Amino acid sequence: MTDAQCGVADSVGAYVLGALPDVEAREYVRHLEDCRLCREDVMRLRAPIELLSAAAPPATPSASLRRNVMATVQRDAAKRRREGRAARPSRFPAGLTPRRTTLAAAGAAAVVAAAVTIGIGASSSRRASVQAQSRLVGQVAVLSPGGSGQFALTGQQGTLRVRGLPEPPDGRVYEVWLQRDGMAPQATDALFTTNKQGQAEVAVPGSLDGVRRVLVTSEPRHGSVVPTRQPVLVVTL
Amino acid sequence: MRLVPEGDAAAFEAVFGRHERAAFSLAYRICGDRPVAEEVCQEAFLALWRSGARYDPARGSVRTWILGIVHNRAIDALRRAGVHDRRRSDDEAAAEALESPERTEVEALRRDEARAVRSVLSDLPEEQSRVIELAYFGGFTHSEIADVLKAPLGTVKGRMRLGLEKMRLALEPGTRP
Repeated sequence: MTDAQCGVADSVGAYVLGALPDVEAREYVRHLEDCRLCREDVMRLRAPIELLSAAAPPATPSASLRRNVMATVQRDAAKRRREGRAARPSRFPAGLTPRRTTLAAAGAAAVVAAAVTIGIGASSSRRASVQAQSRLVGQVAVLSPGGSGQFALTGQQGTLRVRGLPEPPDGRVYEVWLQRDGMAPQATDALFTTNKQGQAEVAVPGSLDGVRRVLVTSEPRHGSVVPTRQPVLVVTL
Repeated sequence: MRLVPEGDAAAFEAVFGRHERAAFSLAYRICGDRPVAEEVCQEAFLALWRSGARYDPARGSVRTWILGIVHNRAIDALRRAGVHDRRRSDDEAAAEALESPERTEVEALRRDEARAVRSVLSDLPEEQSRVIELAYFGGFTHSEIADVLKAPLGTVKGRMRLGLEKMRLALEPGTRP
């Protein structure tokens, strides 16, 4: 059981059930960043939630569900074969690719492009394996007035730091995506929100090998597998 | 890691076939409407396909991952329609009880697990199972549940937490019925 000293311990059930209203959910996510006890509670109570998903009374869909899904899948696959591409067709929001993002953003008064240079100095982090240095890399474009960002690499581990990024809209969180040339953005586990100063620091999971762009979009509370909004931040590596 | 090889429709169909019924069962339980539930499932699986179905084991089993996506989309559909906790008719529920026999051992195990979870849920004190079902399958927030049940908000939150703790203990490996 959770230490009774944590004043929001009773919210854990509502949180894992998705029953917290948007504002409260966002505050609870911030709380989790600082409260180990509540993080442990969340991890512990996720197990029955996952089992609940399998507890719905059995029901059989009509044959049209498979037919409709596979018709689209096979059409997509055939198109890729015809086009001779191994890469997936881009599912990025229509009319916008990350490259065009930086150009479109430059046309908007709200863009702050923070060009950064290499060379911060040696890092004492024990995580650094091949390279001892933590270095800032890439060009960061933030689509909000006064916003800025940095992307740092320690070996292959990336860390994104943002300032001046407004809190995501109600019911949404920020999600980090990795994009390689010719491929759709890849979802990551990195979901975050910003503090009242618009700041956040996020470890970017996964290998950065071959990654050309790191994107941030606002997504529904539990994240998405494909971007549903245009990016608010783009790091071009 | 990738769930299926890039662009491999046949492999994706195999994954779809393994999880189609569980996904539809969950969507139907939440939405209470067959066409809406099928639409939710279609959107969820096509989103997986188009994302390249990159699966992260840190998120749990493949089934958990897929059902989590279906759950989110089903709740969104429910909230867009402004209808909560739609129940299926008794006739439909009876018909579902005459499901075809398990085709494979894996399906049989999964059905047993689902029965175990429903059993544990029904063994909870009614006030705890009710709030969990209203939240998870009905998409209600805790304050909406408090209004519906005419209970203090703190009481609703406490029931959610206690009920889930009891479920966790009852469903731990080695203790499951």
